[in-house]
Amino acid sequence: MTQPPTPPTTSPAAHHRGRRWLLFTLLVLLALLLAATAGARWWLQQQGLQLQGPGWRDGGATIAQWQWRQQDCVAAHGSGLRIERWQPLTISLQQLKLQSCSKAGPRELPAPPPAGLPPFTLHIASLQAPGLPALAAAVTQQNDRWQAQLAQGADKLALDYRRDNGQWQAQGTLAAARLSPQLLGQWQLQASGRWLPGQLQARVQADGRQLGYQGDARRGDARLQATLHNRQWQLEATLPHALPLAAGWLLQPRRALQASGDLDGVHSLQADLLASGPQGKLQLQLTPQDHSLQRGSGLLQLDGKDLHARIPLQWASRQLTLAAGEARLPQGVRLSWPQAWQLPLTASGSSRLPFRLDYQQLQLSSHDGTLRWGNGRWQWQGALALAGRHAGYQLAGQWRGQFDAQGAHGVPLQLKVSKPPLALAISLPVNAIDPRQPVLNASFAGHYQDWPLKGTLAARQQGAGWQGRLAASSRPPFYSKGGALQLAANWRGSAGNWQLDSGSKLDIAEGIVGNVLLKPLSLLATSPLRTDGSRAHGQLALTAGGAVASRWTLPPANGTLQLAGERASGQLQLPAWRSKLQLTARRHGEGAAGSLQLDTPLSAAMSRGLGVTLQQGQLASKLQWQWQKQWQLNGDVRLSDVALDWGGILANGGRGRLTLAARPGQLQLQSDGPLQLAQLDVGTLLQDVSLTLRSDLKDWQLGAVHAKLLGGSLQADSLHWPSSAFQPVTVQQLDLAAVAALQNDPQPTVQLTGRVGGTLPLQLLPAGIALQDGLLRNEGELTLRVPASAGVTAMAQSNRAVQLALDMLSELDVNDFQARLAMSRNGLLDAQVTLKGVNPRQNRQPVVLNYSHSENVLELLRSLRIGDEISRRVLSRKQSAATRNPTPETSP
Amino acid sequence: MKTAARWMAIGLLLCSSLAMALDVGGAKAQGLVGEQPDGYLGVVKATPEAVSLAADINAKRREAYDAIAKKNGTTLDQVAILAGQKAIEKTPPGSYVKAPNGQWVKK
Repeated sequence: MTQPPTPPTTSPAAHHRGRRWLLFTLLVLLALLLAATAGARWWLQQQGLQLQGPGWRDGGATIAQWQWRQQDCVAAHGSGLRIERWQPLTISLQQLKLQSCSKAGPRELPAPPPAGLPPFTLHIASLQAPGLPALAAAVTQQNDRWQAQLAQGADKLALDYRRDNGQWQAQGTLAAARLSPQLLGQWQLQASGRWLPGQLQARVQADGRQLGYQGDARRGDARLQATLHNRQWQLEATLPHALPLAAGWLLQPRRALQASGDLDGVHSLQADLLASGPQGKLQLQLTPQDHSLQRGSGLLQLDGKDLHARIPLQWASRQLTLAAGEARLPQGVRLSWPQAWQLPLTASGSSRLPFRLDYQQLQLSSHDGTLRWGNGRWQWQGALALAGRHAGYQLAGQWRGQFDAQGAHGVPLQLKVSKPPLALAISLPVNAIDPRQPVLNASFAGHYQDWPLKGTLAARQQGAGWQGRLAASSRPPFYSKGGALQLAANWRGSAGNWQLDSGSKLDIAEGIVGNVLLKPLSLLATSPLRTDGSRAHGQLALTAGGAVASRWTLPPANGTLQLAGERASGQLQLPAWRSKLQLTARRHGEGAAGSLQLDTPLSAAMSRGLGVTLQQGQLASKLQWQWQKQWQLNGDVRLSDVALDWGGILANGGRGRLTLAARPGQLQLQSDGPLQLAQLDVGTLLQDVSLTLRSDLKDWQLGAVHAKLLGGSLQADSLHWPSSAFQPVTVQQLDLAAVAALQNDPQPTVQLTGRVGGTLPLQLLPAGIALQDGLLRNEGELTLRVPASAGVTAMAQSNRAVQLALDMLSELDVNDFQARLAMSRNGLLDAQVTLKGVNPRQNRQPVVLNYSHSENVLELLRSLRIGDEISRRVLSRKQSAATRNPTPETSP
Repeated sequence: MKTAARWMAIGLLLCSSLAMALDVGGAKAQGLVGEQPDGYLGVVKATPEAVSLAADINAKRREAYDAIAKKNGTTLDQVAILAGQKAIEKTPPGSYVKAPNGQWVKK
């Protein structure tokens, strides 16, 4: 039996000592780790590398942001760095942006990457470098062999580089459209060389296949060959076939370009480029003056129908000089530069380029413009001035700022446009304008005639055209108060073809015109409004609140307006009056013409401004209008079933047709056929009134006047008002019984029978009537009766002479009646009446009665008809001229 | 009966003015409106309020003149002219009235 092995035992002190060593070791390791981390961070900072946001995600270390600075320049910065694997090192980057930190002075050859790096793989989702579009990149390095794949879409470039011997080669393809969207075809790239510290050699060949331009079916090839030996380079471009350019131009086949230089610029250049196009030919010839090609001269020639320039040039000391000159360009544009342009033949530099562009009567000039370029970028900076006249508009503008491929920056463009009576000042901020998708927001202020104008215009390119929004305000000058005008419209279109969208609206607020209060008015486009500059198409809705004047009102109106090229039509309704107006218009010569049709019932509501109250009736008019140098209106107006009153004078049953001819300051109304009134009650009832009318609203000529009056008739061949002439009015067969009935007394004092007639020469004055040598005679036998009554008896008893007269007149058969009438223009009526007859009750004793009567008819009317207070005021200012002096005479 | 009707008509005419007396008085005092020989209120200085006031007053006056004319067998214009003479006579000094030549003058 053996003893089981006894496990080795340690003393507690030894055990405790071991744990202390372990703890110490861990602490030392931790301190070393911290020191290494701090040291690494310090080293990285010394190298210009700054890290932000280190972390850990999905088993990999991450760094949110980092950047690499060279002195004060950020040469590269990236985001989204993640270490995918540690062995081999695999790093992914969301974005890497490289920037040039080169400084003035000779450029240095780029240094190759360091040798002996551990293997790694780098994936970059977006690599951005100056002058290049964003690329996706994948780089691997193992045993000093670098391989890279760069891609953008279908375009790829593969690079292979051996760090140990410096050999490298590259090949790739590039769609021409990557260079410019309008280009077609593809470039194939082959390159190889050697890259070691202080040594860089390259042979590059780029072959363009099926190159062309969109919209042009022609295609061509091109070849570029370039070599680089350390700092020196050479370039040769050849065209085996004609190469299509933009706008129908062709670059003719030949060995077009030879150039050489170093990393800092061009040393030599020899070119013979010939392009031909629709406008002519362009030829560039460069001739070196010595074998070293350090200097030379050349000539740029443009020749063609709309193209001409002959620009001598020369280069020396890495500077190209274009002599002062001018070029005639298509569309009548002339480019001139008063001083020679001097362009450094360097990869980066600047040049002052004063120029002037003339287009018709417009000049765009810059005196201090400077072009800068470098690192694949260019920028123009300076001031532009625009002046001149175009399409009859005087233009003056100025701008200062800079622009490059990304757009313009600077003060707002200021432009003044004037063409009396229009004057506008336009301000266009340029800072937010992206040249690839330009959005313009201009503001303008000015006036058109006496119309103030202010507003904003927004525009952005949409396809081949533009669209935007217009907001403008104004105030029609004929408004003395209010009348603010607001226009809000969305618009779109291209040159010569513009449109205001449906929903565009013009509002005019309430305001005063003269002494008339115009209520708010609005015009709404209910369809798109299109115009080609001379014609318009579309539909508008009109809403008007009406008008108020001290004596009249127009009720609210609504309607529509249709525009159809050179024609337009509209309908307008006034619901409160049930009136309808139809209007048509068309272009006529240099003006317009059309028709106007109005249909409306007549109502008292229309009469507020008139001295007459329209009670009923219908008015229908059809008019033709024309507007050229002046307007004119012709047509007819039909009236039917008209009833109206002038207060106490009533008329009804009116009908007739009037022709109307109006032009500025002239109006002619003429009846077409008789105008008729069924009844006219002027205190005495006239019936079946018929007349013709001709008037210019100043002179009124009535013809063929006829009316039934007091059982007889009234007629006049012609009456002219106003007129100083006495114009005869003939009355016939007036029934004396009807005359006596005017007393409106159930028991009249005098009873008359028989008929009278005669002539009343009337003078129709502007404010009254006069009568001269009026004569009424009996037409047949008359009878006069004075029935016995209390009044008559009292009169008879008062005076013997009166008793005798009344006895004789109590019953009188009159065979001869004459009434001579005259009335002055102030209303004083004189009547001389002679009655000759017999009294059948007194043995047919002959009776002769001479009666004279004077009365101021106007004052009598007033005293009878007007309210007491008013008439008293009138009469108190005038001496009564009325006398009543009946002097009956009797003769045996 | 006829006399009573006439007095009613005159009363109606006066009331139509009195109903707006304060407003009309204020407008006259401010020189915005004035009396005219044609019997209607005219606008001296056009403001929306003055035009609206004159239109309102004149509509009422016309109704009154029309009623008087119908009752008395005369014309609306004749009554209006008579009323205009009366209104101008009643216009207090300092207010505008329209002269026969069509010009506004301060009474």
